[in-house]
Amino acid sequence: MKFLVVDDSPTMRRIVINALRQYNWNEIVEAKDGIEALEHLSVGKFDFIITDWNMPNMSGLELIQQIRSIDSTSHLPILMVTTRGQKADIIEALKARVNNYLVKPFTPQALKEKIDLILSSINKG
Amino acid sequence: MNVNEIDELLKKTDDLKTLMGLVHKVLPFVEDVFLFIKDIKPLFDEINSNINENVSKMPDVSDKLSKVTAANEVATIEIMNTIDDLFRKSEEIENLNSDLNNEYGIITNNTLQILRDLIHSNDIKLNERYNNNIKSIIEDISNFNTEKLTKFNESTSSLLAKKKEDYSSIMISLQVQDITSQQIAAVDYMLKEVERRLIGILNKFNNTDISDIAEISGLSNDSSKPTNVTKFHREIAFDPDAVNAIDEQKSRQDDIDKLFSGNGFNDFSDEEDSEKDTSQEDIDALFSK
Repeated sequence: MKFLVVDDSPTMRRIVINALRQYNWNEIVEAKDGIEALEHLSVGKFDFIITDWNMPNMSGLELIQQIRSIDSTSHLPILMVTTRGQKADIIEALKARVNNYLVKPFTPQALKEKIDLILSSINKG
Repeated sequence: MNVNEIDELLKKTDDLKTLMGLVHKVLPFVEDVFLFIKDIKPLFDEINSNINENVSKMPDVSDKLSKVTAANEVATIEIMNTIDDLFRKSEEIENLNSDLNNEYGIITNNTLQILRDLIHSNDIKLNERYNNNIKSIIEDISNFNTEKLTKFNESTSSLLAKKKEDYSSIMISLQVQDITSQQIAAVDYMLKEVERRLIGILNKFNNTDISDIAEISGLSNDSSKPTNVTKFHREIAFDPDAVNAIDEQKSRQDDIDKLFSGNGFNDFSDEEDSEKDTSQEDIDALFSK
């Protein structure tokens, strides 16, 4: 399974990537903002997107809206990993059709559980 | 000069007299106002000078915050590199240990087999003393394998597994770097807002050309940029409430406990609650709907 990890913080990208590798998910591409993520999506095939919300140039929310509006990417599972935890934020993320939401700081187990949950709901649906 | 003109002159004289009386009354007040202005002017000059000084210092503060954030990020990455290295070395030890055990197993099994064959051989008859010595060696090797070696392997595996868990925990704790950098970015953003307003006040006080100051501080009228971004060694987008991510860990745990005791997520659409922070369990409950 090929992941796209989007976060402006290099340390957070590294933490997410390390957590994924811990569960033998080794095919990972990283992007520092929404624009770079869309560039990767336009040339490569991905199975799962993990994105932060607060990023310069293009936020995670805008990225999700873009992904959902493009035919070739609209189906992709997206997990948002962010410090934003207000109810208004969650509603906004839901409206943008994010598949699930994880607040920082998180554990690798929590990340895996969310990924598994999204994948199992997709397989059921 | 006729009578009318004299009357007019007298009227104007009366007016002048009234005015003189008024001036006489107002004059002390006007003098007070002048004295007040004379006194207050140095104060205004001082305020002006203070604002000027503070505004000129702000870019330096912002620069220092940027350097702190950059240094923090570099240090965090160095720690991560070290942890990755330790993790790899732990795996190397595990692999070496496993290889060593395999080789040792083969050698000891072969040795034991030869020794057993020797004491049961019909071709070679050993005297009692040799026979007992070989039996004792077989027993020692077997005991060593089942007791000491097994214990050593279990302890080593357990220690290495614990070390790997520790490295993983450190990695997770390093998420605090991202959260603190967002907090510092939020402070910098506020400082720049204060600076912008002070420059506005300064501009009202005098006709100072503020373009130089604005240029130094990196302020511009560019409104196309997203609001919650501050320029440090790199652009950092921040959540102004990022501080809660760490501070409210306990309350988040309380939410988890509440959910487990049966009080789950209620009325998510409540507008009044939209500013409240949400626990991970609230989020889970929402996404499972």
